Amino acid sequence: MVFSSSIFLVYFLPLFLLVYYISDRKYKNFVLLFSSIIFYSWGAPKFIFVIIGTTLIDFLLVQAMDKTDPRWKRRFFLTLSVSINLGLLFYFKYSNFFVENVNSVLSVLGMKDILWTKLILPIGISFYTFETITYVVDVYRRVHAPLKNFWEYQLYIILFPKLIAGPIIRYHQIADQVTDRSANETFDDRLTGFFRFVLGLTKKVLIANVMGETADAIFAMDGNTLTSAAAWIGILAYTFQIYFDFSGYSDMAIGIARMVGFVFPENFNNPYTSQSITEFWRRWHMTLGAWMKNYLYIPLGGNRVSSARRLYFNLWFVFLVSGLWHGASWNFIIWGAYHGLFLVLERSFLTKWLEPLGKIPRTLLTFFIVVIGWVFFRIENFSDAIAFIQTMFSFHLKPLPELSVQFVSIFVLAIVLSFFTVSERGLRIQNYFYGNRHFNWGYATLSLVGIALFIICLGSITASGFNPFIYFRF
Amino acid sequence: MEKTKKILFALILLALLLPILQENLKIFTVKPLKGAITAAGKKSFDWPGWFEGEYQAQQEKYLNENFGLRNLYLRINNQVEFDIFRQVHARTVVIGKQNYLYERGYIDAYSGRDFMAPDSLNQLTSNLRFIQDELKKLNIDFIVVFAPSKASYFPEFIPEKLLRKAQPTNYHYLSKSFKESGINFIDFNRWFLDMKKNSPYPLYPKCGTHWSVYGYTLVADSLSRYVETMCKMDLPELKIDSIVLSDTCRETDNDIGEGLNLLFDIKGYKMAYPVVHYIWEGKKKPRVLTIGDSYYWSLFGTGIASQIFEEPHFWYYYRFQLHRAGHDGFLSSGEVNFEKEIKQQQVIMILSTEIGLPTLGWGFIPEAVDYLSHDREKKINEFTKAIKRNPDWLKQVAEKASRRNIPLDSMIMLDAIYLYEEQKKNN
Repeated sequence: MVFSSSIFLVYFLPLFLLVYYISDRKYKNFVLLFSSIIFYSWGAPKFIFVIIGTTLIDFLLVQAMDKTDPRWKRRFFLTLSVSINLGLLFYFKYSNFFVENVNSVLSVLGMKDILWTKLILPIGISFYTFETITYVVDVYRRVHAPLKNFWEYQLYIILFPKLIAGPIIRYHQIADQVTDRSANETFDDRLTGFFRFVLGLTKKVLIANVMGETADAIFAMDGNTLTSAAAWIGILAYTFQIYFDFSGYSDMAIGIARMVGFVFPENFNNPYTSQSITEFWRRWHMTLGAWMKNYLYIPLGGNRVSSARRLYFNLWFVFLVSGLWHGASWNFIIWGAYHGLFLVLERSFLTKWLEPLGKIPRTLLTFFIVVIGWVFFRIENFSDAIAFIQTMFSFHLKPLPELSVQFVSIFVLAIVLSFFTVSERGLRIQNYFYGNRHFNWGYATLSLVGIALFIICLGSITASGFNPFIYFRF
Repeated sequence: MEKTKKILFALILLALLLPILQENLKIFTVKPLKGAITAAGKKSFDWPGWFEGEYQAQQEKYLNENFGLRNLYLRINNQVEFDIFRQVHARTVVIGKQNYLYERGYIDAYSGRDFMAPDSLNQLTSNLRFIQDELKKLNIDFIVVFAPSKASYFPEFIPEKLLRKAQPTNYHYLSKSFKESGINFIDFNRWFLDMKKNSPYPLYPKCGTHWSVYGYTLVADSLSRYVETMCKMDLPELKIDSIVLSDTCRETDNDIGEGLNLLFDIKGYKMAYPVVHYIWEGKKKPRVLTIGDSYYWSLFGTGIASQIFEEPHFWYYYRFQLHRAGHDGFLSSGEVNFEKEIKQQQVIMILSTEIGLPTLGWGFIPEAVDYLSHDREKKINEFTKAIKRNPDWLKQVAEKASRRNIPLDSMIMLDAIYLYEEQKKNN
C-alpha cells in the first residue's frame, strides 16, 4: 500500500485516524501497531512474519545485552544482532546481485553457473534493518535504555508512516515518544501535520508523477533517436521527479506522524540549493546521512583518523556503501563512488578553489554535478549511462521533443520550488508553510487549502488510469 | 482559539471520511462517468490470493474505481487539467480552436493520413459495382452512403499542427470513382458543406462527434426521398412541425463533451430539435438492410428508420445484428444467415463516414462478393461433402444433431457454415 493510492487516502488513513482519535490513550499504541501490521501485510503478506520474527529475536538479544555488564559479552550480543540484521538484508537484497556477479566470473572462466532462485525483496527492508541496528547500537552505547515491552519495540520498527520509505529514525530520537507523546498530541500538531501530509502528497502526485511520465518516455527512447535536447529534458525531469517524489514521501510520513504525536526528523532541506556536494549531503536524505555518519563513518574513525589518506578512504567507502544501500546493482555503487569522489575532492582542494566563484555559480555547478550523477542512478547499464551522457553533450538539439503544456508548466514550477529558498524571502515563505504554529486565520487558510489540494490529488490519482475511448472499439 | 482548531480539524476529518460516508449512505447523487469504460471486478477474499498479493491488487483496482464520490473527484481533476493545461482524459479526443471537439481519426481521414493505395480503392469500387449489379438481378437495390465527417464540416477549428497541405484522401478518390463507375451513391458530406452557410440551424454540434439531431432529421428525409425514387415506391413522409431550440444538448449532440467527464459542460451554441410527424396513409415501406457505423444509430436508435422502412435491419459495423421491433427493445442475434437476410431485403445500404472508408463494409463486401459470385455457396458445399465423405466426422455430426434434436442435414449445413466462417477469419 502506498500513500498516494486511493485505498490509503480514502479507506486506510481516515479510518485509522478516526479509530486512533476516539481510542483511549492506553489503547493508542495498540491501534497504531495493529494498523501498521495491516499496512505492511497488505503489501507484503508473506514478509510480515519475517519482520515480526526478526524483531522478536532482536528484542530478546538487546534485552540480554542490556542485562549484562562485561564489555565482551555486550559486544557479542551487538555483533550477533547486527550480523543477523545485515545477514537478512544481504540475503534478501543482495544475494541475487552477488550470485549474478559470481556467475559472470564463472562463465568467463568457462565454469558452470551457480543455480539460484531469485528472491523477492521485502518492502522497506533497507529502512527497518538500519533502524534495528540503531536500536542495538544505541542501547549498546547506553545512549538510551531499551524498550521494556516487545510490542512497543515492534511499533517502533513497523510504524507505518516511515516503514516503506523512511525517514530513518534512530532509536534514541523516538524512544520516549513511543511510550509517551502526549505533549505533541495537540490540535496544532494535528492541523500542521495534516497540511504537511498534503504538501507531500501534492509534491508526489502533481509534480513528481508529471515529471516521471516524461522522464520515463525519454529514457525509453532508442539511443539512435535521442537528441541532446531530449536527453537534457529527460535527466532534468528525472532530477525533479526523484526529489519531489522522495521529499514528498518524507513530508507525508512526517505529517502523518505529527498527526498522531510523533515528531520525526527532517529528511530534506532544499538540497538543490547546495553550494557543494558536501552541503548537498547535509540536505539530501538527511536521516540516511546521519545514520551513515553515526553508525559507519564514526566507527571507522570519522574525522579523527591519523592520515588524510585514511580520511578520504573512509569518506569514499561510506559513499560506496550508501550507493549500494540504494540498490543491488553496479550503477548505484558507481553513483555512490561518484559522489564520494567529489566529497574527497572538496575536502582536499575543491572547496577552496571554488570559493571565489560566488554563491549562484557554486549552486549551479553543484546542481550540474548532481544531475550528471542521477544519470548513473537512473540507468542500470554503465555503457548505456555513458552513451546517454555523450548524447547530452553532443549538442544535436533538433528535433526538439514535443512537450505537453502540463509538463512545461510543472517543470517551471519544479524549478521555482527547488531554488526559491536561495533567497531569504523564499526561506521565510517556506518556513511559514512548514511551520508548526500559526494564528487561527493561518490554520483556517491552510486547512481549507489542504482539503482542496487533497481532493485534487485524489482526483488525479483516480484519473491516472482512466483514459477511455468515447465509444467502444471493435 | 482552541475551539477553532478543533472545528477545523473536525472539518478535515469529515473531508477525509466523506468518500466512505458517501459509499455507505449515498448522501449525494453523483453523475455517472461516460465513455467506453471497462470496470474492474471485485475479487472475493481467499488466503492463497491474499498471500500471492492477487487479492490486494484487484481490490485496489476495484476500490480506485468505486470509492464514494470518485466520479466527482475525477471530474474535478479533469476540469482542472482541461482549464489549466487543455488536457483531457479521453483517448483520441482533440481539442480544437474555441473548444470545438473532434475525434482524432476523423482529422486523420480528412487530412489523408489513412489514404489507401489507388489499387485497393479501385478494387473496392469494382467490388461495389459487382455487388450492385448482382443484387439488382435479385431485385434488390444497393446504395453507398457517405455520412458527413465533423473534420470535413469544421476544418477551420482543427489545430494547425494536425492539418496537412493538399493530400489525397480516400473520400475524394472514392467520391469520384463511385460516380464514374455508376455506383448508387449519396454524398451527405458534400450536401452538408453545401448547406453550411445557409442552414438556419446547426447541422453539427460543437462538442459532439455525430451530425446534430436537426442534421440527421434532414438526412432521414433526404434518404427516404432517394429510396422512394430508386424503388419507385411512395414512402412515408417526414414532416417537421416545429423546432425547439435548447442550450441543453440531447442525444449524441454532446457525446465527446460528456466523454471528457468534466465538472462543467463546455459552452456551445443553441441546438435545434425538430418536432416531427409522419404521414403513413397510403404509403409503403421498403425492407432495408443497413451495414453502418454509429451515424446510422441516430436514425435507427431513435426510431426514425422504423417510420420510413419496414422493420429495418441494422448490421452495426457488420458485428452486431439489430432489428427494431416496435418502439421498445432490441432483438439481437449472434448467428447471421447471410443468404436469408439478403434475400428478404428490397434495399441494401452501406453507410459510413470518412474514417470508415479504409474498412468500408467491415467485412460485408468480400462476404457479399463471395456469396453473389457463388463462391460462398461453393465453399460451403465443399465442406458439406467433406463431412459426408468422412465416416468418423459424419458420426460426430450425427451425435451433435441428435443432442440438439435437429435433422442431420441441418447440422451438417451449420457445421459447414461454421467451417467456412473460420476459414475466412484465418485468411
